[in-house]
Amino acid sequence: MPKGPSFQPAAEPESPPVPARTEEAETESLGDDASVAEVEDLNAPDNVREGGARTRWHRILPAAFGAATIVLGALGAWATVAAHDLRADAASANGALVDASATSALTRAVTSAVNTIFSYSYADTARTRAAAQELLTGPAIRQYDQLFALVEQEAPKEKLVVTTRVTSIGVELLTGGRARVLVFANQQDTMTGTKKSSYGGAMFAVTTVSQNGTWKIENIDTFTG
Amino acid sequence: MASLTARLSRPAGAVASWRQNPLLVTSSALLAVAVVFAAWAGWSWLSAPRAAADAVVRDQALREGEQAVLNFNTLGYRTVTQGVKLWEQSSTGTLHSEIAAGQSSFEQQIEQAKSTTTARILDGALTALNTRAGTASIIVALQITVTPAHGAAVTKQSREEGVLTRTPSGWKLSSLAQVPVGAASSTGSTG
Repeated sequence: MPKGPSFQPAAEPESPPVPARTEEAETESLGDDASVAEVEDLNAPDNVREGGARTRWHRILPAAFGAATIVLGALGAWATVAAHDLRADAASANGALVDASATSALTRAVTSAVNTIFSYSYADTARTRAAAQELLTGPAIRQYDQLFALVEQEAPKEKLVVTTRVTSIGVELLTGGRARVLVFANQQDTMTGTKKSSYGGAMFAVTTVSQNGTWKIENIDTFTG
Repeated sequence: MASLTARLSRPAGAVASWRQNPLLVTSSALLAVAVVFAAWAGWSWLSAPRAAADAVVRDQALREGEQAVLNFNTLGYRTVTQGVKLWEQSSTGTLHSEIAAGQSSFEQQIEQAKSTTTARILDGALTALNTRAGTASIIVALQITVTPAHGAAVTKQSREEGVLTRTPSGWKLSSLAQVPVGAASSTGSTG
C-alpha cells in the first residue's frame, strides 16, 4: 500500500471524536459508501453512530483502494510485458501467405522485377541494365553485372531478343524487411536474324529487402552452389 | 434541535473529514491511475498480434507437401511395389485414383527400365493457401538423379507444381506435374 500523509482523525473540532465501536455501527458500515450512510442517517438520533461508520470507512477504503491498486498494477504490468512479447514475436514472424496483402504486394514486385531484368533486346541492352539498377541492391548488382556483361557481348551478334515471364511464384519467408521467394520463369529467346525462337525454363530463389517501402532484389540463388 | 445542528454541520463535516484524510484521497488517486494503467495494458495485450494459427497450418502444408513431392520422385526398380505404395500414401483424390488404376503398368515399366530415381529438394514454397477449405498449391525445385542399370547417372533439375489437399492423415497431393517450359525446350537460362 502506498504511503500517504499520516492520518490525523482529530484535526478539526467539528468532527466528532472517534467513538467506541458499537454493534449498530457495524451494521451501518455495510452501506455502499460514506454518503449513502449519511443519507440513511439523516434522522438518526445520535452523532456517535455516524461518526463511527465514517471512521471505519476512512480506515477500510484506503486499504481496499490500496489492495485494488496493487492487483490492477500487477495485472497491468503483466499485460504490458505479455503484449510486448507478442509484438516482438510478430515482428520476426513469417507472414508468407498468412499476411495476404503483404504477400501479394511482394509477389507483384518480384514478378515485375524478374520480368524486367531478364528481358532485353540486343538493340537496347542499356535500357534493361539501367532499369535493373533500380530493382537490385547489394550482392545482386554484382551478380547481375557479371551475367549482363555476357549478354551485352553476345546478344548483338545473334540479334537476340529475350522475353522472360514468371510462371509460378511462391513466398517462403516474409518478415518486416526481408523476404525469400521461389520463382519459376519461362524465357523465350528469339534470334531476330533467323526468326528462330527457343524456350527455356528457369528456377531460382530471390532474397529481397525492403528499402523505402519498395522491395529490391538482394540475392539470386540459382541452386548451383 | 440537536438533530438540526447535526444536520447543518454534517456537510461541512464530510468535506472536512475528506480533506483531513489525505490517505483516502491519495489511495483514490492511485487507484484511478491503476485503473487507467490496467485498462491501457489490457487493451494493448488484447490488440497485440497473435501467432497466427494459419502460420502453423502453412508450415505443416509446406513440409508435408515437400515430402510428398519427394516421394513421387523417388523410385527404385528393386523396390517398385513399396515405392508405388508410398505414392498412394502421399496422394489423394484424382492423383490417388490414377496411381491405383495404373499401378501394374508403372511397376512393369520401372522394372523393365531397371532404373533408380532419387531426388533432392532444392527449394519449395506454397503459392496459395486456403486453411478453411484445406487446400494449397505448392511449387518445388528439385534435383533429380536417374541411375540406369548400365551407364552413368544423369542429374537434372526439375520444376514441379502440385495441389495439396488436407486429409485426416495430413496434407496429400491431389495433382502433381512438371511445369512446362514452353515450346521446344532448349537452353534454360537460370538468370
